[in-house]
Amino acid sequence: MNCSKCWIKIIYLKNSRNVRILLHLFGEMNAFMKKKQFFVFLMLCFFTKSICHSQTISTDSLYAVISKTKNDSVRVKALNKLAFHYIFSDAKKARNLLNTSRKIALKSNCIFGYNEMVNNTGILMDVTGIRDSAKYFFTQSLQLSRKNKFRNLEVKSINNLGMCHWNEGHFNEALRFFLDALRINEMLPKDQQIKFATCYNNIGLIYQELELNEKALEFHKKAYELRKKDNMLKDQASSLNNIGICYNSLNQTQKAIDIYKIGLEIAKQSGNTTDYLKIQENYGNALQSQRKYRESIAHYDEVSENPNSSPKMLIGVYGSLIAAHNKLNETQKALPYVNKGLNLIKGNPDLRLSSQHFYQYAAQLYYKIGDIPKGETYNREFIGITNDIFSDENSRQIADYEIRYQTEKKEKQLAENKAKLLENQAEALQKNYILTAISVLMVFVIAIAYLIFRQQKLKNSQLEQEHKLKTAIARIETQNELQQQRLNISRDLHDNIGAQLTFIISSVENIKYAFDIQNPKLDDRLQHISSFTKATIVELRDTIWAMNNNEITFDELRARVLNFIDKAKDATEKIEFKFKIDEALKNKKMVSLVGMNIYRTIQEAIHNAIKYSGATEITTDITANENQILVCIGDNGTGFDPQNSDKGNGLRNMQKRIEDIDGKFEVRSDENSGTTICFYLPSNTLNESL
Amino acid sequence: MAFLISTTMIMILIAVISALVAAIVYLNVRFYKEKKMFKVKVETLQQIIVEISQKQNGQLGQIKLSDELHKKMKSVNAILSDDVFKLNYELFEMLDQNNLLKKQS
Repeated sequence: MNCSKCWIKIIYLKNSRNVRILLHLFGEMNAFMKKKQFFVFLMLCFFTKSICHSQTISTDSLYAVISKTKNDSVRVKALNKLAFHYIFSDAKKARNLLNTSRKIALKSNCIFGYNEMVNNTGILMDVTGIRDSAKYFFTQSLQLSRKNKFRNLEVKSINNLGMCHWNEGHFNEALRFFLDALRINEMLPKDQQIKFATCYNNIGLIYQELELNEKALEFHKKAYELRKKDNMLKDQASSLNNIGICYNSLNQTQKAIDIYKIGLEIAKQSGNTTDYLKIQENYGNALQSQRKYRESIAHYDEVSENPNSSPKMLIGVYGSLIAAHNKLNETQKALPYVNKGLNLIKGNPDLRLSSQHFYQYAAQLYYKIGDIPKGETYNREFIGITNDIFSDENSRQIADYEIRYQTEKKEKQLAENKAKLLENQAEALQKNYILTAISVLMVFVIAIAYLIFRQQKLKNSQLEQEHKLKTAIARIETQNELQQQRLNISRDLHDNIGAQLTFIISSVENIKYAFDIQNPKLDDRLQHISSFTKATIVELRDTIWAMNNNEITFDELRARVLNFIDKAKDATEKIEFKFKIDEALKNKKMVSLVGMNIYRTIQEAIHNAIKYSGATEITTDITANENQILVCIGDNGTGFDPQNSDKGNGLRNMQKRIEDIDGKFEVRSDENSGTTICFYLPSNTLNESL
Repeated sequence: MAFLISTTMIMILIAVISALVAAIVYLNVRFYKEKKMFKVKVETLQQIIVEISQKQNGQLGQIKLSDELHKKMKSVNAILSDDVFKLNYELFEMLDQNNLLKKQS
């Protein structure tokens, strides 16, 4: 396949306030004659619409700005533009202009201008072939732009670094820079962006270099679409040529031919002669791949007859024409191209390495027509060039392989480091997770331990409390039992005493009945013993009654008091007894001690009234309100002065009994107006005692 | 593999945490339940103590009455003894006046 590759490098892009874009386009034509043989670099400069526009601006106007303006930053910008203009035509002049720009920028502290100057110096170094210096200046420019946040200059510097690496054959590095430039370019405001189509085109060309034609096709298509959108006809032709080359490399020759057809139309329409001729040649190559030799000749003729065709292109085309005529057995038609080619090589000795296939096809032609010596001569030339190319290509390939090996080694090392780093990160992350999980588990375990401890503590305190309560119950029960036994013994004793007292009464009564006792003293004595014993028995029975009941109701107390009053009535008929009790109290209960003390106090009070007051009426009232029970025993007798008279045993006993059961004792008496004994019992005391 | 391990670990972790949470909930519930049960038990015991204390108070009252009666009986005993002594004395005096006492040989 006779195919020629062409790719364009944008090495500098610039915006100004007038949105002028200067594009310097390197055209590097890599001619592959059947087999890749050598690279020839051609520098082609052409401009897009805007470039064409800028080209019309005279350098004189820039000189005028430099000489007239007093603004240093404007002067630096103008100097940089002018220097860029001369970079490709007069490197020395460009260098001088850049030096002047540097001095003014440093003096006036114009950072942007200085940054621009550094970038332009890098371009100058790259153009003059001092690649290391170019890389240094581009790196400096990148650092400056990043430091000062000149994002458009940053994009340009990265793009230019990509160009440097491309020139050195570091395609992966170059691709990385181009992709970086593309990424940052996307983030810039629209008026500061460089053309995306250019970025895509460069990336596509790099992929072509890496023989990743599908990927290259994708980017060339993107570039073509953008150029179509911007109506950049000349650049569209270039993109279509690149797309065609990709299709041809992917053995889709028909698709390539279709693309070339469109490309030719557009190149013709836009006046892009360079790409028109390249597409014609590539079209011819594609037709030869399809064995359409006759049709291919027409395209080669178009190139060969065009005065704008470069000598290198012509050599390739002549070779392709000889090959096509050979295939068609039109040897006579092929002969003139041999002469034309030889003349061209003679005039351009530097094209020798590009003429390998030309000599090959010329040799074939002469063998075919039977001119063996000439055939031999050209064949020898072909072999000589092939050897030269091979040695040259071998050294290139070795260097290339070395570079690739080193790159791959570094990439591998980088990948290993990355993997190691990722592994470490993953490990650290995993450790963190494990640590967090352990912490969480620890918290839970501590919580559970605390809960168990709390439960155990509660259990212990509960057991202790329960033990204390049970001990208290046991102690009280024991005491109760002891008390009960004591009470039982007391009851037995009292029963015996009762029986003995009854025996005494019976004996005294028998004596009195059996003997006629004339002695009054003796009779009185017996009578005293009898009545005393009877009274004692009554008292004993009362006490036994109280002791046999745990609780006494007021109703029972009432019955006792009434019984006592009845007996008193029998003794003294002159006294009228009145007894009243509150109906609400009837069912109220009290402990036997309280009941007994109340009973004894009432009994004592009535007894005293009968004995000492000379009263005709004795009243007993038991009333109750919310807080207390009031018991009053009153008489209408002689009364006494409680202040002056001494309290007898009876009154003291009564007071003591009432105070023992938390009551309040009161005696109200005046001479000749009777006596009233009252005592108050708090209701709650009565209730509590129940 | 790593994903599988991490997934398994997460599952185990979730299971362990769930079990621990369940244990915490169970322990808390049991704690409050036991507290409640103990409260009921203590209330019952306290009620018993109140009741037997009341009984004891009643008994104390009865004992007090018994003690009082005991004192009373002591005084009654003294009075009756005195009365009986005096009766005897008077009887002997009367017998002596009537020369009815036996002469010792």
